[in-house]
Amino acid sequence: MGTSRTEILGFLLLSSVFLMLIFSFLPEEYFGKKSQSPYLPPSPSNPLGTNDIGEDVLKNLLIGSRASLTIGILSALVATGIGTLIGVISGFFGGRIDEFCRSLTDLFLVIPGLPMMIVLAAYLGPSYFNVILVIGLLWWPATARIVRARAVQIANSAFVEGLIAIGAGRGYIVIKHILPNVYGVALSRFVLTVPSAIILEAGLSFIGLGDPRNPSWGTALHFALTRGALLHGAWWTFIPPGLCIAITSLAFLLIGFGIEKRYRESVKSMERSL
Amino acid sequence: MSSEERILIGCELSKEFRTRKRIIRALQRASVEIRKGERVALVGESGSGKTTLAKILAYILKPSEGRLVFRGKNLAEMDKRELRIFRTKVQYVPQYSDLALDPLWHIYDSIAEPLRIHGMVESRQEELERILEIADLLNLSIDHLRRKPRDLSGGELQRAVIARAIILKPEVLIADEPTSMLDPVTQSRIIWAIMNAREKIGFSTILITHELSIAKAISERLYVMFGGRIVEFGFTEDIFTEPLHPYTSSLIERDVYLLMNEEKIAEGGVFESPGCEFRFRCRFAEEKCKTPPPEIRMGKKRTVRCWLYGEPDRV
Repeated sequence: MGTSRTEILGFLLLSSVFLMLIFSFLPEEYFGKKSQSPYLPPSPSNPLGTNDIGEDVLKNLLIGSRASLTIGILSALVATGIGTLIGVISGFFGGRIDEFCRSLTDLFLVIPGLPMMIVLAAYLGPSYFNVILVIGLLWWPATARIVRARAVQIANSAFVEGLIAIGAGRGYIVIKHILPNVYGVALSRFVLTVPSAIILEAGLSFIGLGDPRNPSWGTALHFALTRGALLHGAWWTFIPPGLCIAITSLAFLLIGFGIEKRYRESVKSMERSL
Repeated sequence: MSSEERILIGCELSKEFRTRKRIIRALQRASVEIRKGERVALVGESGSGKTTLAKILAYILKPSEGRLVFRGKNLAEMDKRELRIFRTKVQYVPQYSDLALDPLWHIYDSIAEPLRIHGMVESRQEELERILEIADLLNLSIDHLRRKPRDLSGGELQRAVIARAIILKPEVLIADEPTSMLDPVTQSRIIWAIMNAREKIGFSTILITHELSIAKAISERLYVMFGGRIVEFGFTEDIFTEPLHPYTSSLIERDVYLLMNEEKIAEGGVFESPGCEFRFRCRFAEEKCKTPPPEIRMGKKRTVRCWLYGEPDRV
């Protein structure tokens, strides 16, 4: 099984996004000058024009990649972590614990994510940390369900019975056998959660609940809307950040699908070969 | 035989599984004992409760009722240390499955795992020696040990599973249909491997099977199970020469009427009414079979649970 074409495309897109991240750390003088007049169209000195306060759009775009990527990846990490933990506990211990975890998962699944997030973000106040926490705490149920399914399969397998007969403790079995066996599903869930997190973060920033000290692509869209870029016809202020969000999400999705597919095939071939 | 030779005793073991709708009585008052070095077989069809009994004897499942006694000590009363010792002395080989060993681990590590869990070896060198010794006993090459489960054939994988179970040199090996789903040649190889290892290490074996030919070939004593109960037990030879319980004789004679007449039977070991579980398929069934049949001793270490053999000695 080689790397599929979609995955290669995903990696290319992702590396271009990370290139943006690296360029965002270039010193000031490499970027277009701050201009006195707002909404200057693209020109040699400002390749993507300027925004409402005369800042270089390209510079903001590059800097925006920092917040978008960090929040996207960290909150996906939190969500996957919680989901994997709950899934493994639920699947391995079974019984009452399983019932409790499943009810909890169902409860979080029926909570309308975005409205809840808006309420929480507004209540907790706009900060980097809060956005990560809010997305992480609300976006784990799908992961928990998928991880649980695999954990149940492993927990009821012959080798775990054998391990119990050998005298292996529960903690030992979870750490040495269950977690490594759900790693594949958890990894693909992580990569697939990143785009959701990036889009959610953009959504929160777009309605003004992002961290203003760390502007992201969503923040750029927010200012484009509220400061009348649309009325001015200044397309260069909102199309590039929108595209960046779309491309980054697409990159993670393509890679995630690839990982998921490969994992499924490996599980299948494992089962078929016997 | 004196009583101190008995290693593992299951006394009136019962197991119920509760689902939302009903209670499944998978095992009802089954008593089993195994002596040092003995070869015992448990036969019965699927749903007869033999796997449940095997898992209880290995203490993977806890019995709902009854006692499991290892070397004179009730397992329910054992402390952690004693239970750990029990875990090294009684081993369980599960039914063959594609997840018989961790798919991510190399065979070598899986076989070494019991040694590592119990801290039985001082050094890597010693571990290697122990593993090579066991691997040799089971005809596993070094090349096999380097692979992962998916790169082994069914027979090789099952031998690796047995290697893992016997590396601690247990006193009792409980093998739950170790050969189901394998082809006949592989089956006999596996059985041969277990018996070969038994001779070298000297453990007792409890073999669970639905194949009478296997039971006949490798057991001294036989328990026949039906509907969650032990319906007959005794020396294998005696049972094969003169089966007493109608179910046993139908198994041995391959009586199609008795084996196939299943329409009235409740599924999967659920028997709501008291009385003999086998009466729906039994050609000797009478009115009194609706009450629980007596356990009747028939000579030397032989018991049958059936109304055909008269009234109970004592009620």
